[in-house]
Amino acid sequence: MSTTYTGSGLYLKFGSTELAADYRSFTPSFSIGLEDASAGSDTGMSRLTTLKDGSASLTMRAPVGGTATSAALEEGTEGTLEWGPEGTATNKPKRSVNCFVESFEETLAYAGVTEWSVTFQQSDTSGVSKSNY
Amino acid sequence: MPVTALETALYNKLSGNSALTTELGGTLIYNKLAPQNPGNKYVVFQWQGGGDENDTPTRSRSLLYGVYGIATGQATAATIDGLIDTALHDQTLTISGWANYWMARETDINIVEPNSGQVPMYRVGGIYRISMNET
Repeated sequence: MSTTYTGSGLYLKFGSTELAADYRSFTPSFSIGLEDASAGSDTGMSRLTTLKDGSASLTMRAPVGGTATSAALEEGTEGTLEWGPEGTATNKPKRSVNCFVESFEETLAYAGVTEWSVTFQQSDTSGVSKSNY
Repeated sequence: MPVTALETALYNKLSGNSALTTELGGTLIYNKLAPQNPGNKYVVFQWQGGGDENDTPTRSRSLLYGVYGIATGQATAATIDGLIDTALHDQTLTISGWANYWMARETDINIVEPNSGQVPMYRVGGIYRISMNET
């Protein structure tokens, strides 16, 4: 049994639009704020957690005539970003978070495949939901 | 692998170019190897490299094909090469089951080698990148 895996099994959906067929890379990055809670005679830093936040970036090959996909990824669009790093087989990890599309960038190179780069920004009071399929 | 579909499409593109077939005096266009004594001028194309790109789940391939005009004189070989270039550079192949989204000349070839009768045969042509994704 393999102990590692590539990104080739990724399942990725934003709202009702599945994005996995043409993706090249997907990088979710989530974190939590930390406040300094040290005081007085403390000799080391101590911290308190504050709010969870995060974003995700996606690069994908632009599909020919992909008007529905580009509409789904228009800046300002809100939806649930769901991804399964190892696909959607039973018991594989499932992650989701409500997001806005913060930016949509289209790169057109004369001798290269047209590529979209999308940034999703979290807008979710609970942060990333983690469960299994 | 779509090798047969691709090479059929490439052959069809070349053989369907009337300027080229007129210059050759027929569809003297061969995949990989010309028959013995094919005449004083003809075309050979052959796979040179490339394969799967493996950069998205949708399968895509980027291949290099050499396409050459071969003749007993360099000027004639160069004329044939020019017609091949017109037929292929920045054009599109119709490939069964695949969409050809890029085809362009990348490298020039100009060599001479003797045929079986020790007659110098000039080979002038180019290597073309053919990129396609599965439909």
